[in-house]
Amino acid sequence: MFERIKFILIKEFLQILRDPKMRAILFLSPLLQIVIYGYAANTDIQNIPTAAFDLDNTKESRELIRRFKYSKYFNIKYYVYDEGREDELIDKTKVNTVIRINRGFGRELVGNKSANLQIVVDGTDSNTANIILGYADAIVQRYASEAFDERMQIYFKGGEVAYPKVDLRDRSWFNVNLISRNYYIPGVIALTITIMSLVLTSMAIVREKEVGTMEQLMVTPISPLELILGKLAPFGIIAIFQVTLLTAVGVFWFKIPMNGSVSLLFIATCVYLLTSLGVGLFISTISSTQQEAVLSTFLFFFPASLLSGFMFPIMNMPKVIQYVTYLNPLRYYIVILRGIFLKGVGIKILWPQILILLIMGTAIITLSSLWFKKRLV
Amino acid sequence: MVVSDFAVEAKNLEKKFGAFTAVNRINFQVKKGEIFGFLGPNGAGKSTTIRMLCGILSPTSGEGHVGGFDITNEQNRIKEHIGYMSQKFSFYSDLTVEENIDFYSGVYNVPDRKERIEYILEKARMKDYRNMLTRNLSGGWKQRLALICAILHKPRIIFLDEPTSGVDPITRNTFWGIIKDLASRGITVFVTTHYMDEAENCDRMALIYKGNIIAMGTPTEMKTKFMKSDVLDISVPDSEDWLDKLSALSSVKETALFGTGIHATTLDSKEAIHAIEKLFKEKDVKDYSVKKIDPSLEDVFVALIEDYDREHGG
Repeated sequence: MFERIKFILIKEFLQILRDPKMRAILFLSPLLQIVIYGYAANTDIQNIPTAAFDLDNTKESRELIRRFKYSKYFNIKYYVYDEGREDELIDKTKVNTVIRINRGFGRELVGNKSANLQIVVDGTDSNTANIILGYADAIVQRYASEAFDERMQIYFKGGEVAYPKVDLRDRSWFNVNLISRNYYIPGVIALTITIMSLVLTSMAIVREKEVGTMEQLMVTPISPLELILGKLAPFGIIAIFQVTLLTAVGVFWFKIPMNGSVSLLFIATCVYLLTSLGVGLFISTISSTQQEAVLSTFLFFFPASLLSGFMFPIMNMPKVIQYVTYLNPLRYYIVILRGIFLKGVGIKILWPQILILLIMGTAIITLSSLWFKKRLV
Repeated sequence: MVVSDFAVEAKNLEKKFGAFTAVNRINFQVKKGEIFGFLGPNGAGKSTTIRMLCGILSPTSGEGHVGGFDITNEQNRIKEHIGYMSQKFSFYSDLTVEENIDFYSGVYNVPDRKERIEYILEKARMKDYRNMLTRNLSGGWKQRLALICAILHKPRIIFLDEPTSGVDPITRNTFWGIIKDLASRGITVFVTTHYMDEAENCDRMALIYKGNIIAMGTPTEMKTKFMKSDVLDISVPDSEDWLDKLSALSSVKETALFGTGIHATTLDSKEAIHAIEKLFKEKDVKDYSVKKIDPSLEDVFVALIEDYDREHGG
C-alpha cells in the first residue's frame, strides 16, 4: 500500500515542480503576501496630518498644541488662521484632524473655569477616527490633569496637599508596542496555507478527471484510499514547507515575536491541514472542471477568511454570526497561531482549539473520502 | 473465483442510467487467447460494457466474469490481471515517457521494475524517446505508449477501447500487428472499434447496437450466417443519381454509396442483376458493370443494423 502511495507522491511532485508557473505560485506568492502585509497593510496610526486652528493664541493654548505636535501620533502640517480654511483642508483630505481652540481658552483655564476645545476628525474611516479620538483624548486628559495639579500647587502655595486622583497605567500584553504587523502575520500564514491547500488539492484531482487519467487510475489496483492519500500528502507537505518559510521570514525579517513552541506550531498545522485538505477533496468531488474547482474554492475561502477574525474581530460581530464562526476551522487555527507567536501559550491553553480542529478534520476528511469513493465509479 | 475456459463472460449483463438502457442484458463469452472484437457505432454501449468488465462501473443486473473473477464483488482482483487502454490519451502529458512508465509500473507493483522497463522500451523501440515529454509525442507513439503502460504488468487479458481512433492507416496496421503478437502469446484481447474494416483482424466478434448484441461469430460466420442477402457491386457514371432509381426496383432491398460505386443488397441476385441491367439499357447507359461480390464486414453490419431498425421501428 505504501509503495503505491509513494509512486503517486513522486508523480505529483514531478508534475508540480516541473511547471514554472506552479513553482511561482507555490513559493513566490506566499512571500509576496507576507511582504505586503508586513509592510503595506499597516494599521498603526502615526503621523496623522493635522491642522491647528488656534484662535486663542495664549501660553496655555500654544502649550496644548505643542503637546499634540510632539506626540508621535499627530503631525501638525497646517496652522490655520481663517474661518472655513480648516473645512477646506478636511474636504481635500489634506488633513485628517483639526484642533480648534476658541478665544478665551487660556483665560478660562487660569480663571479656574471649564475651558473648551474642539477636535474635528474625518470619520470616513470610522475605525481610524476612533483611534485618533482616543489619542487626542489621552493628550488632552493628561494636559488637563497637569493643569489641575499646577493650579492646586499655586492655590496651596507649594505646601503638601492631598486630593483624590485616579491614574490609569495602561499596558498591552503580548504586543507591548501594539505593532499591527505582529497581529497580521500569523493570520497571513494561516490564510496562505488555507488557499493553497484548497486550490491545489481540488485542482490536482479534477485535472485527472478532465484529462481522463482518473479512469486509467481506476482500472489499476490503486484503492481509493491510496489515491486519496497519495493526492493529499504532497499538498500537505507543501503547506508545511510554506509555514516554515513564512514563519522564518516573519520572525527573522519582520521581527515578529515567536514566544511559543515551534513544534506545537507544526503539530497544530498538521491538524488544521486535515480540514483544509478535506474541504479541497470535497470540492474536487463536486467539480468537473478546474475552473469550477477554483470558483468553488473561493466560495468557501471568502466567508471562511472574513469570519476567521483575521481582519475583523469576532467579538464585534452580531451574536448569530459569532455562532457561525464556531463552524469555521480557520478561526481556531488563527487563535492557535496568534497564541503561539504572540502569547507564547502552549498545549495547556490551546488544547480545546486543537481538539476541535482534530474532530472537524477527521470528520471532513472521512466524509469527503466516502463521497469521493462513491463518485469515482 | 471460478475456473472456466473463458477469459471473459457476460450473462444477462445490464446497465441502466436512469430510464436509459445503455446495455440490455447481453450474453457473450471470450475464449482465452482470443482476439475478440466488440463492434458497433458510437453510443451503442461498447464503452459501458468495457467499463463494467474492468470493474469501474457496477452493472444494474446480470453477472460477468473476467479472468475467473466476478465483476461485481471481485473488482480488485480483476484489476491486478487486466490491462486497459481507454479512448482518451490516458497518461500524464507533463511527464516524460519514462516517468509515465515508471509510475504505472510502480502502481502495478511490477517485479524487477528497472529491467522490465528497459526491456519494454527496447521492445517498443521507444528508447530514444524515453526523456521526451509525452505531450510532444506524435499520435502513433502516444498510442504505442498507452499500450505499453497497459501491458507492463503482463496482464492475462487486455481491454482496448477504440485503440485506433484518430490514428493514420499505417499506424493502425502496425498496431494490429502488435495486438496479434500479444494474442499469439496467449493474452486475451478484448477490443472495441467502430472501424468495421478492422474487424477482419479479430478471431471472433460481437456486433452491439442500441445496447443489444445483434450478431456474434467469426468473420466468416458473420458474412455467411448473418448475411441473408447478396451484395451487388455496381459501377455506373453519376452513381449518386442512380441510388433512388435502383432502390425503387422491387428486387433490390437497399442501396448505398460505396467508394465511387454503389452497393445494393438483394434477396435474389440473379433477378436483381437482370432488372438493373435492363434499366441501364433502357436509359441508354453504356459504361456500367454489375456483379455479385462477397460482402465485406461493413456490408454485413450495415445490413444487420438496418434490419434491426426495421424490425424495431427505429
